[in-house]
Amino acid sequence: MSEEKTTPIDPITGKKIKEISEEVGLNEYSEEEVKSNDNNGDGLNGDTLITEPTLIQKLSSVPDNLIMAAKSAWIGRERGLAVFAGVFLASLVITTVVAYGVGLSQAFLQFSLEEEIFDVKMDFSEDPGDNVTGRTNDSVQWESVCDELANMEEFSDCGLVFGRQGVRVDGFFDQDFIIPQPLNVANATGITGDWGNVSWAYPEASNSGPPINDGRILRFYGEGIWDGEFAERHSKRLIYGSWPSSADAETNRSVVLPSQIASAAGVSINDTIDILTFTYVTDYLSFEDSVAGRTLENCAGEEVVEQSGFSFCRVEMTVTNLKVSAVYKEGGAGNPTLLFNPVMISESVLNDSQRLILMDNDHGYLGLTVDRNLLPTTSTADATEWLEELKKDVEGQNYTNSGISVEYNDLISGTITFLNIFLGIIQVFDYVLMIPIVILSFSVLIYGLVLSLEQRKKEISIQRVIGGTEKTLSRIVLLELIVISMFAWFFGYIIAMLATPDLVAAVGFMEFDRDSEFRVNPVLGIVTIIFIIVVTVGVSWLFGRSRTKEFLSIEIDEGVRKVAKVKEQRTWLHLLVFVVGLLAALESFIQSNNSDSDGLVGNFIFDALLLLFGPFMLWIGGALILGRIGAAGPRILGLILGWTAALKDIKRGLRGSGSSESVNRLAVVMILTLSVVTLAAIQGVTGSLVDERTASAQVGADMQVQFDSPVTEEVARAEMMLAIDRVESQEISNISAMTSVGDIFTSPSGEGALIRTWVLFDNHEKTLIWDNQAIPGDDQDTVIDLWSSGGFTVGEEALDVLDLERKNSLARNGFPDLVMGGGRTIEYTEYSFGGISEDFTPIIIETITETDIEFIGVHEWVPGLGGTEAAQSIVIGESAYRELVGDENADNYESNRWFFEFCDETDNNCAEALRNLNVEITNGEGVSSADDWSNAHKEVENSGGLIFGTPGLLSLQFLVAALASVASAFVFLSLVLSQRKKELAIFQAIGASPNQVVRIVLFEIMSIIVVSMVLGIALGITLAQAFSGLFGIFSYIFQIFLGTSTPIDRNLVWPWGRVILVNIMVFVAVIAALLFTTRRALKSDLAVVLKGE
Amino acid sequence: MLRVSELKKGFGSGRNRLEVLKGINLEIQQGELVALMGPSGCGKSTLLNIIGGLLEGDSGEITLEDFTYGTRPPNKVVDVRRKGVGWIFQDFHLLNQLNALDNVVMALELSGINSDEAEKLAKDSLIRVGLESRMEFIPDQLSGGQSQRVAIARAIAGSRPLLLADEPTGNLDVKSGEEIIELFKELCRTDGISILMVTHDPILASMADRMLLLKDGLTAASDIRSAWGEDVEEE
Repeated sequence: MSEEKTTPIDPITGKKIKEISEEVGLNEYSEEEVKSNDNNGDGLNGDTLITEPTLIQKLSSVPDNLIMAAKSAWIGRERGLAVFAGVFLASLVITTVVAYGVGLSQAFLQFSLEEEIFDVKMDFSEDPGDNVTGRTNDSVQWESVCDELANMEEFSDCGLVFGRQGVRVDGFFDQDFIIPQPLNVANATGITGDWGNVSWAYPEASNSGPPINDGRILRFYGEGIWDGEFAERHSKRLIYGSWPSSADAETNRSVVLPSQIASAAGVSINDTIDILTFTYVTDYLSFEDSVAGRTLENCAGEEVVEQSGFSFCRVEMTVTNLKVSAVYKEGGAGNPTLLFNPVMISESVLNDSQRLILMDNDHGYLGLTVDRNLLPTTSTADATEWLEELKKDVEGQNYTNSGISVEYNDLISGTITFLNIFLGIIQVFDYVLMIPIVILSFSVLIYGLVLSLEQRKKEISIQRVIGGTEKTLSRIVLLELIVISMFAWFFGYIIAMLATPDLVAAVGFMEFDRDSEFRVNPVLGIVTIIFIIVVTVGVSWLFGRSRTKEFLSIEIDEGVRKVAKVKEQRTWLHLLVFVVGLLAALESFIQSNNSDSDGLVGNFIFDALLLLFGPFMLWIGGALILGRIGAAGPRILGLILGWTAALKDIKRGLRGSGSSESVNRLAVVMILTLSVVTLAAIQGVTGSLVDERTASAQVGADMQVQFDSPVTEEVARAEMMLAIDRVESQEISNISAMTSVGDIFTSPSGEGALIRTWVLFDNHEKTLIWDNQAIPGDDQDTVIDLWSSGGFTVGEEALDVLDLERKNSLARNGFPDLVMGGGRTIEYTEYSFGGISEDFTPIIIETITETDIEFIGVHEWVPGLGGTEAAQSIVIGESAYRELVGDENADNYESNRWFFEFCDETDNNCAEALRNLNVEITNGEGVSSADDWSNAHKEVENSGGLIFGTPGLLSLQFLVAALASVASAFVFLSLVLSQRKKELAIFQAIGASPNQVVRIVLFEIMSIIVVSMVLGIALGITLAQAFSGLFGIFSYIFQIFLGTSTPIDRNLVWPWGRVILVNIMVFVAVIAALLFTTRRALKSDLAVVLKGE
Repeated sequence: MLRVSELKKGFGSGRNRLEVLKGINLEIQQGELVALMGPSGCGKSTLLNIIGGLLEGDSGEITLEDFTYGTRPPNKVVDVRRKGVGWIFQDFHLLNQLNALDNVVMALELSGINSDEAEKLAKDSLIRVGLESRMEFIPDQLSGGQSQRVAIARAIAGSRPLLLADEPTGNLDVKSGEEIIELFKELCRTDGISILMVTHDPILASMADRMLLLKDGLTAASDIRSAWGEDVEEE
């Protein structure tokens, strides 16, 4: 065989392998080596000329590779910045959303548990009786169980309480739950105070839960309750005095009174109660036993029948010489296990005999607080499970030498069960709400990746020419990508964890209550963190990998000659998506402005799908389509302004700009981000306004007071002034204005149908907080004038009664319906006693008066009055009222309900004063209830007049989108300009001055930005409308859920100030970026740039 | 028309300082086609860039008609590029989004000429270089030779007295390259334009009126005969 036949030949080049090896400087392979490793018979050594590194070699080279990748990333930091921005935003948003969900659970739990002071009621596991084991009558021994429980880290405080008897059932609906009775206050006397004025009945207790007891309850607290965590929790509700320490409580024989009792008795701090009599229960009889003829035997006291039908033997006991240490504000009904709003007395006032009796009769229990920070925050289910485990642990042991066994009554779990449902609905909505911002951050990431890879196109192609394989090139690019992405993820994670507590504490759009009592500390589990890394860095890696593969497969000369293949865009798809989105927006607009209309889509399911998915399609389709218009900004504005001196000499250089993909992407990102900014601002501010409007509609004024019986203005005023004197507030020293709303029944003249008729007295607008949504049209002054000059408005459901039509279905939304017309005559019938007839029947005299009223339009509600009733009513002014009832009656008007104006309710100091005044008024003479604007607003804010926590999320959307728009402008701009460096150098080479170059760049980019801004805002407004349907549904549900009687329609408001502010920020950032990068481009070596080195 | 006196230029500093031009002296008359040759890295492009106002020298002086410069930075010699020197690059450096006519008009408008007049001048230039039928074509639709002609039209449209061509035929085939040189010669002959051309191709260089050899930062020869070692005086 000749040498040529045996010598290995490279089939591609025809050269001898040996020659190739020498050329590339590789080891010389002998013929035998080549043949033995030639697996596919092509004459080459194996399939490569290089041996593969082992796994250990690969692993040991990882740190070096990472360092090199980091250095390379730093050197090419401009292109890396785009990737960094995208991954950072994605990490920030996703981490915040997840942490927010955790924080929300914590905050909601804290909020819901706020009313609960006790977390556990620990009873003996066995009922009292003879020869029962596991119990003790020794209160000291029972109290000592606290010392053993203190060793468990789950409990933060423990103390002895004499109060409700032992509860040994699960759940509130077991009949046996209502049997254990509390201690009830029977009587009190003292030198100070008018104790005869105090009623010890407390029917609210049985109205707010199972019918256990309807008297004012009493608890005696051991020393453990006067200190520590219990002291802290009790202190929060005090309005006068301070919570005494255990030593002081013992020394002073302290009593802490609920505000209603203190007010009724007229006592204050340091006043004394000479004798307080209370009752305890020794025995009971069920209703069935009673019916069966049994009686309570040997009842040493009085037999009392409760609402439940059970009879209880109540025996009196007295304690003496008590000193009032504090007064607390009564709260709402919480967990009924311990009942509500007790009188609290130090246990030290009891003598040993009394303690023994109370222990004997099962009135002694241990109250415990759980360290709520230990409650799992990952989910409410986890928290419930944790509590169940704790219960098992505690009940599984015996305590003290006597082997006491316990029944653990968990007071938190019930709250959590309710939470689960509520939180579930909220979280679904919140996650839906966050979809745009998550997509946005990924868009920035993907666009940033594409741009950064485009920067390396030439580099990759050249490397390939000189021998780089796909594998090695891929590795270089992806390693650099991973290093940048990991840094970006980490920064996003840190900022998200720092920001989440404040976001959860948002009380309105971009309003954060830093002094909020709800402090959350969301901690993400390791699995969650890994998930976020996988999603953010993973997406970055995946997308980078696919794009890199694509680049590596392009023709070599394409990369070197810088000729790029233009991808065909699927315009038809983008257009279709956009059109569907627009349809959704239109549908939402029609439905929200015409409650009678079904909109464009009749089918319920299709309609629901359209309203659910439409907004997202509008956003994405809109950005893609409008992005092209944005990118054509230079051409559009060039056409308009090309004749001006600023553009005359450079306008030709602007032609064709916008045709590049990078510029198109810049426009799309700007539109995506600014539309979300606009959407978040509109929905956020609307939500905050809905909260305020809800409070205003509910309460109607600063204060709404309901009296037990109708009173004149003078009496109402006098009562109010007394309360003001008692509260001694600097903010409120007088009544600014007051009014009432008259309530009579009229009927259309000659017809029998009665219509509820509300009367607005002159100057009511100085007291009542009106809203444009409540009135026809949007000019309050005009409508108020019309009312007082004989006009009337009508509720939606009363239209038919008066044979009127709604003049314009869009009347409420800026299309005024103030055409006067449709006059009506209404009559009022007054009945008076005219004596007795001959056949001894009473003579009723009917006096009918009439008045003519002019139709103004349809009202939605009257401040402070029920929305449902408003729909069925008409509202007239004082002049019409006087014509109906006469001046004498009008002058002596009396009402149960009066409204008061004191100060600016939105001011914090005024708000606090209103809350304090409310307490005093409620406890006043003849007052049934009082509602103040401040408490109503706080409740709406904290419990989500919109949806709990949503102001925070909308604030997050706003901030992130604003940040994204500024960051994108900076990052994309510098990359776009880098791509244009050569073009700018050509301009200079052919005679452009630096000024002309700056103008070209400025005008081109600014026109893209300005057009994109306008389009972004327009898209955002349309988006807000499209999302309105979704928001409206949830808002309505939650307003009903939380018991708002006047659900406010979610009519959008337009916070132009905030939107324009963000756009100005973007504008300024872009100009700064432009000037910086253009200066740099102008300073760069023209010759070098032109040479392309 | 063009005089370069003691032009020096170096790059880097300290130990890494490299003096590329060590005192260039040359003159170019009106209507001359001069070829600039030399080994790689000798400073041909540097010299061209300084004359063309894309780079400033360290010392020395350049006089081009009414312009005197040499050490001023590019942003201070805009007028040189507008009215004194026209550039022709190896890569053509046309604006890809503009057609041939607009590429030429753009350069004129940047110089302050109004649109109507600029269009007229641009058309004249394109006709002059033989591209009458290609005015509406964008660079992607033109051959290499045609693209280079557009670049030439752009350079001559503003009545610039001097054209600087940095390897103008580097990206062209032989025939197109020869055509470009022929066009250069015609421009020199009939329009009185001077052209200073950097080339590696001795055949193209031989078509020039004169050859300048750059070696070790200095002009080593200033005519083709002496470059080839022949005695000028004998002629």
